[in-house]
Parts: sequence; structure tokens; C-alpha cells
Amino acid sequence: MTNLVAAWSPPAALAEWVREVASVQDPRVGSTTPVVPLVTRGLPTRPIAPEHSQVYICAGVIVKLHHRQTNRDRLTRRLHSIGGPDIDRLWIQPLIYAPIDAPGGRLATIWPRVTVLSTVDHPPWAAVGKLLAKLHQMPITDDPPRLGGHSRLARTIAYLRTQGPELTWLVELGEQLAEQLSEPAQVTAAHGDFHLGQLGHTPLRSSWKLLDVDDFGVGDPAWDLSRPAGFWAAGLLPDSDWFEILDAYREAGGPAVPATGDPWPALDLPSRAAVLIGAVQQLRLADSQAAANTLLEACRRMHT
Amino acid sequence: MTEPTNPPPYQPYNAGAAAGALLCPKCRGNMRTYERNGVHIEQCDGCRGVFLDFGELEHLTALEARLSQPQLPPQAYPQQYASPQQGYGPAWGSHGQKNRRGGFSGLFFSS
Repeated sequence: MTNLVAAWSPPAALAEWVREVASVQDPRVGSTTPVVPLVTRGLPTRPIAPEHSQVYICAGVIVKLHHRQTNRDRLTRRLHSIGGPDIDRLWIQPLIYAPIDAPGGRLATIWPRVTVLSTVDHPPWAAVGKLLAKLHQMPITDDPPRLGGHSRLARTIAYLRTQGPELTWLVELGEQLAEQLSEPAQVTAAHGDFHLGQLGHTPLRSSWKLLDVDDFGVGDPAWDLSRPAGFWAAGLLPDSDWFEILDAYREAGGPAVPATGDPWPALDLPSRAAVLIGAVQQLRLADSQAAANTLLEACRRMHT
Repeated sequence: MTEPTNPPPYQPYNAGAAAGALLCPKCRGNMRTYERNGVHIEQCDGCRGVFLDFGELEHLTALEARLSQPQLPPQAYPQQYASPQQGYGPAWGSHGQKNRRGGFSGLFFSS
């Protein structure tokens, strides 16, 4: 485990390239400015697959190397879409509205350094509910691609297929969900991979804005509520937290759930998917065996 | 009453004024950030023009409407959901305790 941090530091050539790109945006960057890989605040370092996205901080600039399979056209459309009128107030804006070519045949995007939500603070659930409700009511412009939730479920199923027969029941569960989720009841603009690590603010403003455009697009807005909803249902989030985000979302006119009454008919399928994806993520990372077990218990209840 | 040593004039918090400060779209003056009732307001030092973020005008309007209405009893809003909402949830949900448990922050913070 001690080698993880070292393995995570960028190779010298990559660090040099990051410095070069960052120096265009921030004149403070020099030949010795550190290039620091981003670790979500307060969390232990963890191994990441080499093809996954990597985020580097260099002075006031964030350079994100996208997943090896990220599509240039879709990423460009996503960057353009979040820069549109009004929606630009909800997202941290890139410094360049197009991906650039990075070493190793990857794509990179350039962002301002922002303050992210700390894991020790009480999550601003009400602000999150309001922010997502605003996003989901944005007019759809600039032809953004489909929301990324389905792709994350598909990647989870693909991973499960490579595992032993004891996880076959999870493959079945995932396939059922993918099938049922293929025809959403409504589509809006949505984040596509919303979680608490996707919030940041600039020095001039203290209001939270959205980060990470990789899964942004058009699809069922209930995907954006699926993690808090699913983790609440699984027993990992207190009632008060869940109702804080749900009430704020409804009060701000969020369209993913009916304004009153039972929200579960709208939330059920994406929440099941979030619990399945979360369970597999916890199994892979061995972050917390207790969380993995709680989520797997919920998956078993879905499967029967 | 003797005048104490002149206190410096009040300067509202304005991080980032040195680099990348907002400029007034009307007169190019420096915009200062104020917070009023949870709403961020940029006001120009020059022409005193005010700039609101998306949704903030609606927020202020709603705030004004709430202030001009007779005060509702404080429990009025929670009542809207309190009783039925506790009963909602999926069939696969955990029906045991839903308490904050430590050690799960990774779950809520990663893709």
C-alpha cells in the first residue's frame, strides 16, 4: 500500500507537459511548480486503473486527463453545452471549451482550481437539491449527448462478468436494470454522475457549482438523485439528510419527482442502479467492507 | 466625546479582487461581492449598479413575498411531508435504522 502514492505521481514527462499547459493559463507556473495528483479530500489514496481519468493540480490550474475511451466529439459537445446562457451559472466553467491532446493519445481539459466540498462538513443537501432542480429545468441546447448513467451501469456489468460465478446473480440484476432503464419516462439536461465530490466553488463566490462534465447530457433526471436516494433506502443515509435534499429539490421545482406524494415510482430504477454500482465499487476498492455488505444486502432484496 | 483614532472604512470581503476581479459591464468599475440573506450580490464601486446571478432575482422575490405574508406557524412546512413521507420507500429498502454511520464518505464522494 505504501507504493500507491509514488505510483500515482505523474512521470516527469507528463508533469512537464502539465506545467507547460498550465503556464499558458497561470503566469505563476514555472519549471519547478509542483504537479500534484488530485486526491479527493480526506480520503485514503487508492489504486486507480491506468486507463481511468486522472486529475492534476498545477498552481491555479486543474488539468484533467480523461479516460482513454473518452470520445472527443461528445466531450466537446458537453463542454459547449455547460457554457450556454444560464446553465453556465450552474457549472464551473473550463478555461478552454475544447479538449486538447495529451501525451499517450489521451484527451485533456483545462479548468480553474476550485474549492471542493470537504468530506468532514455536513453536506449542503438543500443547496444540492436546489442546484440539481435548476439544472434539470434548463432548456436543452447545443445537442448534448446522452446521460452517462447507462454507461456506468454497463461498465459495472462488464466488470462483474469478469468475476467468479458467485457474482452471477449481480450480473443478472444489472442486466434487468439496464433493460428497464432503457426507456426513461422523461428526459432533461442532467449531470449524469452526481455525487458530493462533484461540487466546487470559485474564490469569488461561495455558492456550490457542478464539476465533471464527463457524463453530462440528456436523460432521466432521477439519475442525479439516485445516489442519495439509493443509499438512503439501503440504510446508509439518515432520514433527515435525504429529506433535506428531496424537499429542497421539490421546492425548487425539480422535475425528476412529482411535486408531492410518493417520489419512489420515479426514483426506484436509477436508485437500484446506484446501489448496485456502489456495491461493486466498494467491493473493488475494498474501501469499507461494512458499506459493501449493506449495499449487497439491498441488492439481494432487489434480486428476490 | 473624543474621536478615537479613525477606524478604516468598512471593506466588505472581496477575495480575488487583485486577480480576475469582476468588472462592471456598464462602466468597467470594480464589482464588490456582498451577501444579503443568502444571495450574492455584486455591486459596482463606480456606478453602484447591481449584478445578480441566475435565479437570485427569483430568490429575492420569493424572500420578499415571504416577508410580506403573515407569518406561518413554523411547523407548517414540515407538516407537508412529515407523516406520509416517512412511510415512502422502495420494497427493497432497509427498514431498520437509517442513521449516519461513519466510514462511508468514499461512497458519497466518488464516481
